[in-house]
Amino acid sequence: MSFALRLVGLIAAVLATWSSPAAGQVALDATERAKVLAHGPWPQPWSGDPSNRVSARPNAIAFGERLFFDTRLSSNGLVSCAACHQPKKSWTDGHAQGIGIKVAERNTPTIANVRYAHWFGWDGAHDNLWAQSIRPILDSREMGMTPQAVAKVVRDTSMFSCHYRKAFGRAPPADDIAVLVDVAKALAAFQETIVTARTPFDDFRDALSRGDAVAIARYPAPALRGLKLFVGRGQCNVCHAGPAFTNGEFGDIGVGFFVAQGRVDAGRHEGIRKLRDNPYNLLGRWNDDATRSTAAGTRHVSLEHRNFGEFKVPSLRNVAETAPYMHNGSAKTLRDAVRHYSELDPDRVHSDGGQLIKPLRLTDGEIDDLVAFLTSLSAPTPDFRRQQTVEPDCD
Amino acid sequence: MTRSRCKPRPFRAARHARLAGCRAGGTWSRLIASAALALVPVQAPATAPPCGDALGNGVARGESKGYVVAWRADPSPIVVSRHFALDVVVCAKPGAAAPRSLAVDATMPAHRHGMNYRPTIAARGEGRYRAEGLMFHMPGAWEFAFDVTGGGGTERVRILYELR
Repeated sequence: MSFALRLVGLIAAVLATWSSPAAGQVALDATERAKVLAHGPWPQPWSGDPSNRVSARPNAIAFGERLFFDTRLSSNGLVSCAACHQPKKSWTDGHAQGIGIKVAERNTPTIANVRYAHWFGWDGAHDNLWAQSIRPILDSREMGMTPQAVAKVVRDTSMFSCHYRKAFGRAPPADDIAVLVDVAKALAAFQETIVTARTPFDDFRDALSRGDAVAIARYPAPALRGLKLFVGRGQCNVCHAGPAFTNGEFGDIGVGFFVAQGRVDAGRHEGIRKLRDNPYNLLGRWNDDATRSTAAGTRHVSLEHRNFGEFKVPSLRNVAETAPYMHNGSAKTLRDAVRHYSELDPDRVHSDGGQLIKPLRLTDGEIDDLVAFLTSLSAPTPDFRRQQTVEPDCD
Repeated sequence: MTRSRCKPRPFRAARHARLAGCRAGGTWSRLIASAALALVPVQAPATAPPCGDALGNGVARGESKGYVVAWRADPSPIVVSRHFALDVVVCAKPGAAAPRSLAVDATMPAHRHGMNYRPTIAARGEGRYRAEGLMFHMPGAWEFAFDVTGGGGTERVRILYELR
C-alpha cells in the first residue's frame, strides 16, 4: 500500500474516531465512541411477542386501540387507559402520581417503546405486556373493574364483540377470565405499535458510525459535552444502556420510598413476589407460546435483599417530554432529575455495598450539558391519529 | 479455593478465539509442550485435545489446582440484558477426582453485586454441563465463578469477562 493511501486511511480513521464539532473543543475518544455507538441504531428490530397469539396482527391492534381509548372499561365509566397514557403527553399524564378513579402511588410511565421491555411496571411485577395491561383494569384506584364486568362489556357491546371476533376468530367465550386475557392481549398488540421517533442523538450516533464529519458537527456542543459525562464520569450508561437507554432492570438510586406514615413502597422486592403469584405470568396457562421461549427471566429471577427499594430503570427516549420523573414523580423537571444524581445521599441507597450510585457533584454548567444531551434524546411526538374515530365500524 | 492461573485479565467476546490460547497448565505447561514439540517435530501430538475443544469457536478456559473449566456462551457473544446459557466442560487434571457437580454464578466486583437471576445447571455426563438463565444486566467487568465439586471438596475457577 502506498504512503498516500495509508495516509488517507489514517485520516479517515482519525475522523471516524474523533469527532470535533466545535473545532476540537469537544471530542470523543475511542472508548467513548464505542459506548455511544452501543446506544443505537434506532429503532431496533422487533418481531412480535410470542406469548401473545395476536401480537402484531392488524385486527387485534385495531381492537386494542378501541379498547385503549374507551371509558367503558372502568367501573365508573369515566376512565380509559388513555386517561393516564395520553398521546399528546408522550403517553404519560404529566402528574406526579397517576390519577384514575383515585390517585395512585406511582408516576405514570410512558408506554412508548414498551414492546422492547422484558419487565413491566416500576416494580416489574409483570413479565409480559398483556399481564401488565390487566393490572390497571382491575386496580380499584385506576379502572376498578372485575373480570366479570370486563367480559360483560365485551359481550354486550356489539362493536366490542365484533372486533373481538375479528381479532380472535371466535365470539367472546363464556369464560370471563379468557375474555379478560384476550382484551389485555389486544391492548398489548396496540401498545406495541407505539415507538418513539428518531432524535438528534440518533442522527449524531449514526453519523459517528459512518464517520460523517459534517453530520457529526451538527450535534450541539453542549449535548456532546453532556453525552461525554453520560458515558464517562456519570456512568449513566451502565443502567441506561443500549438503544432504548435502559437495561430493562432495576436499581435503587436513593429516591425515597415512603408512601405514607409507616408504609413503604418496596419496589422490586414486592414486585418479584407479585410476579411469582400472578396467574398471568409467562409460566402460566395463558402464555400462548408452548415453548415458553420468553420465560427465562421469570423462571430464574432471584429475590434478593437488595431488591428492596429498587425500581425499574426507565428508558430515556423522549425523556424531555415525560416529566415529572422518578417512580413517585418527585423530580418535577429534567434539571431536577439530573440534580438528584449530583446531590444524592449515598446512605439512602439501599444496596449491598454497591459502589455505582454516588453523588456526581456536578457544576451548574455540567447539569446544563446533561440536560442538553437528554433533550437530544427526544423528538416531538407526532400527532397520534386513531385508525377510526367514529362508531359503528365493525361488521 | 484457587484462583485461575489462566491469566485473569479482562477480555472481550470478540477475543474469545485468541483467549482460547489460555489453556490448562498456564506458562509451565506451554513451555513443556513447546519443548516436547521441539523434540518430536514430525510426530502427531501426544497430548489430548484441550479441555472442551468440542465446544467450538468462542470457547474460553480457566483453571484451578485440580480442574480446567471450558465454557462457551449461547447465544454468543453475550449481550447486555439478554439471557444466555453456558455450555461448560469440566476436565480433571491428572490426580484430581472426576467432577461430581458444578455451580455457576457471576458478579461485578467493582459494583459488588451479582446477577439478578439464578442459573440452573443440568449435568450432561462426562464433565459436560449446561447452565441456563444467566443475564448480565450492565456493561463492564464481570467475573464468572465456576464451583467444581469433586472427590476432594470444591474448587472455584474465576474467569473475568469484559462486557461491552
